[in-house]
Amino acid sequence: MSDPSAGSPPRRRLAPADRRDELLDRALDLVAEHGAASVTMQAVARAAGVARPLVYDFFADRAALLDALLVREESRALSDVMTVAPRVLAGTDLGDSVTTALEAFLRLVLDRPTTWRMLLSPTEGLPAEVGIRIERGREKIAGVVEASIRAVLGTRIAGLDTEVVALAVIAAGEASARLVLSAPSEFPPARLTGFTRALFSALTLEPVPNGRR
Amino acid sequence: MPKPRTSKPKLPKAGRSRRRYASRLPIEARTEQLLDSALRLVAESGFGAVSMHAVARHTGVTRPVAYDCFAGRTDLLAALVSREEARMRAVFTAAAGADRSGAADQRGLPAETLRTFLTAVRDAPDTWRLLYVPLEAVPEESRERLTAARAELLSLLRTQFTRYAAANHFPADLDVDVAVHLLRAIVEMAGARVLLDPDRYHPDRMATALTAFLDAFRPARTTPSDAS
Repeated sequence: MSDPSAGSPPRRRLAPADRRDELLDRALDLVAEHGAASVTMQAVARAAGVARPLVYDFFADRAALLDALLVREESRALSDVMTVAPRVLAGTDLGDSVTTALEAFLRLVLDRPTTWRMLLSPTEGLPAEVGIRIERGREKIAGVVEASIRAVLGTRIAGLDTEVVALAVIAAGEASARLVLSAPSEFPPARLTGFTRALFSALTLEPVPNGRR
Repeated sequence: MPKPRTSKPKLPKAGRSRRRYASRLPIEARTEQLLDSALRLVAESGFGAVSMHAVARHTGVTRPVAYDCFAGRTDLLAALVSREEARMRAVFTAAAGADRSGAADQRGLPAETLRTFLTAVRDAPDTWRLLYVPLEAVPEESRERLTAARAELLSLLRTQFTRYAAANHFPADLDVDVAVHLLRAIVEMAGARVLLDPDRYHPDRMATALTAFLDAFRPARTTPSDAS
């Protein structure tokens, strides 16, 4: 354990897990304000008001810190999504369920804008493994989405390739989130939900001619 | 310095001799060959991996041979992006034309367009990986070119969607901009899957699955809507 108290006023003592979380919170703030490239051990220490060695107690280096941040944020984002996904099944009208799901999803995206920006548009300043991690997270979500699609449409569309359709639904959801995050005034959530509502009221799902219904 | 794959460079028939003499190729052919190497390097390790030295080595020629064709790295990368952008554009044009016939009875379904695009992705994966490279990772001089290719995809989708919307009597005020953004995400997802695992996510599978899904939906109105 290092002793940062030498010159600076004593910091409140935090349990290690809380301290770690706090450092990650400050790192997330830095990402939000100045981008991932601004996250350095020094910058995080300064933002948290602690000495640099303390940051090194928790993270070997900048890459490890960013990686830990992504792990945490990704698991938060995933659990957010999981709480929304099951509710989607409750709706009966397809257009309603899709619109409600999109609305709920965009709300939780806007609740954690920095997190979702990192996950949806990983760019410079983030470690290369981020892409792989995000792909794994996407697979978890894909499983849930696929189950919903099978439950809602499996009996109504013969020979539905639920895996591919789930990937398409996720791609469209992610694109919606990116629009809302990157151009909030041009694409407010209501514009996107208005679109799905209009789209589904222009279309109707009919049993395919060779369906078994 | 990233190690290029040790796959043997494609040498001309007489090219079994020593490296320096590989330069017997006409300059146009040599230029193409160097660009092929550069594309491979970008696909494997990103734009940062491309240097005159790395490209020459990957091609199996000496640096002076590479400098016969390009003034330097910047020149080479600009030529590369411009060549690949032209290739993408050609595919978009072919894809746009693929559905012309029979569009009416297909209700404007873009099956052939999608299949044409995805097959091109499968056949030239290194070219199409460029569609996914974040712009910040692209040398500044070439960003505009790549942006142009991406814009081309958007305009292809706009045409397709407009046709589909008309065939299905969609309300005239349906938000085409949103539709096109979402469609692009779906098409890019399909392309990314083909790049990731072309056997599992075969172009035919992706095109069939997506259009079959669309096909399950029918227009709610059979005549163009006058209200909304």
